[in-house]
Amino acid sequence: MTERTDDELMAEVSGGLVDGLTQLFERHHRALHRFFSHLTGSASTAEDLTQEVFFRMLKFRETFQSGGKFTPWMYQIARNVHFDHCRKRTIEMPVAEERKLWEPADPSPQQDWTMMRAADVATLRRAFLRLPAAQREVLVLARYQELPYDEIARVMGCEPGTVKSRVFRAMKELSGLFVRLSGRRAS
Amino acid sequence: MNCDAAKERMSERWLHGLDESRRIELETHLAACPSCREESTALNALWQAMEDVPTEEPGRQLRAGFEWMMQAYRMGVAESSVRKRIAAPRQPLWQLAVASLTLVFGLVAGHLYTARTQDQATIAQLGVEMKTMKHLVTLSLLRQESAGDRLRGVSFSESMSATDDEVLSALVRALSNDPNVNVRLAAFDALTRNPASPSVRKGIRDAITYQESPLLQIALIDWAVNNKDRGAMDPLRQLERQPELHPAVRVRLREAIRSFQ
Repeated sequence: MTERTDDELMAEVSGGLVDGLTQLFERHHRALHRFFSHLTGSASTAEDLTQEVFFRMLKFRETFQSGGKFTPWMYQIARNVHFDHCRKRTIEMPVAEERKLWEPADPSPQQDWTMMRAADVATLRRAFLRLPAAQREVLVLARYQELPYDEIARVMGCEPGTVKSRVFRAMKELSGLFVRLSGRRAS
Repeated sequence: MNCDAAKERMSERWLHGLDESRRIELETHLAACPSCREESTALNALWQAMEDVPTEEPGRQLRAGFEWMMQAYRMGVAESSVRKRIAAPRQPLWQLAVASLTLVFGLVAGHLYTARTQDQATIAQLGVEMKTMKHLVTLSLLRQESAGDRLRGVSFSESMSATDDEVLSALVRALSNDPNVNVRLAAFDALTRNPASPSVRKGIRDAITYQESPLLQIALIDWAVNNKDRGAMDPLRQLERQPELHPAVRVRLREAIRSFQ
């Protein structure tokens, strides 16, 4: 017997047979947890947000259109969950600190990355968390979730070409932030 | 190929790789353009380096939370279908019959219940055990790693006796140390149900001086004003001396200090 696809399972859930959600949880909870871990830098927050995604899938199951692709729909929900999380955090984040995080990075960083050390990995992680949320999202979807560009485009509601430009800009911004945080000079 | 197209092509290569002809086009451009070449080398290496950023595996809490959610959903569905099945009869005669039967059943059950003092003692004991269990569950939830669980712990504490000192101390600790502002706010709300407790008043006064969230600071100031807590004057003055106070908090703070004078 062939295994049912994500779309078929979600169509069942949408129709009221919610047991299929358990299989979808088995297939996707690790990927979602990884998505939120990279976005927030916190494993426990990632757990809470992953939980929230499955809650919203159940609550808004009727909005899933059968024939539509499950993965982009799931990541659209995940992005909304992350957006709500960031909005709550902005309320408590001191204004000065927030401004610091959104300062533009060095526009022309050139760096030899071939000798990454553990400290560099930690700095890279810090730099990543200082990217604007939208840039973090597109990079996580491309680099860590390894979604094809056309799927990322569906998640983000734009053209695949736009996704490629956004990924490039995000990488450049990340590179600049890394250089600034590690105190290295451009070579 | 111009530089913009080359950048898009680089981005494409990171994720999917390029076929032979597209790769040659890009390489030709990079050979002729030193600026794009440097950028490509640096960003390619960064893309590779991102692989080294570790990812943590989800804990058991996530699965437990999911199972809990599904169970709650199924219980909700079952309850609503039972409610549908035992919907009240529409005919007046049937309504009267059902009401009479219910009354007779209630009288008999009530008589049996009051006649058995031994059962009452058992029920009282069960009540004590239930209380102890709630106490343990609350303390355990407040110690969980997940903020969602700690929030559940705070809500659980609200169904408990106001005088449970151990739970009150745990809530004061959550207000002081919890990394999540939502948990701190919930703990504060739970504590305000016991304004008479000296340890609660002390915990709240202490929190005035070190909480950094403007939301919490305003909630704490309002609490001090509404409870006319003159003991909070010193912490409020200390808070006023902090240079990076949010403007909205400063306004509320000045009003509060004025109201005490």
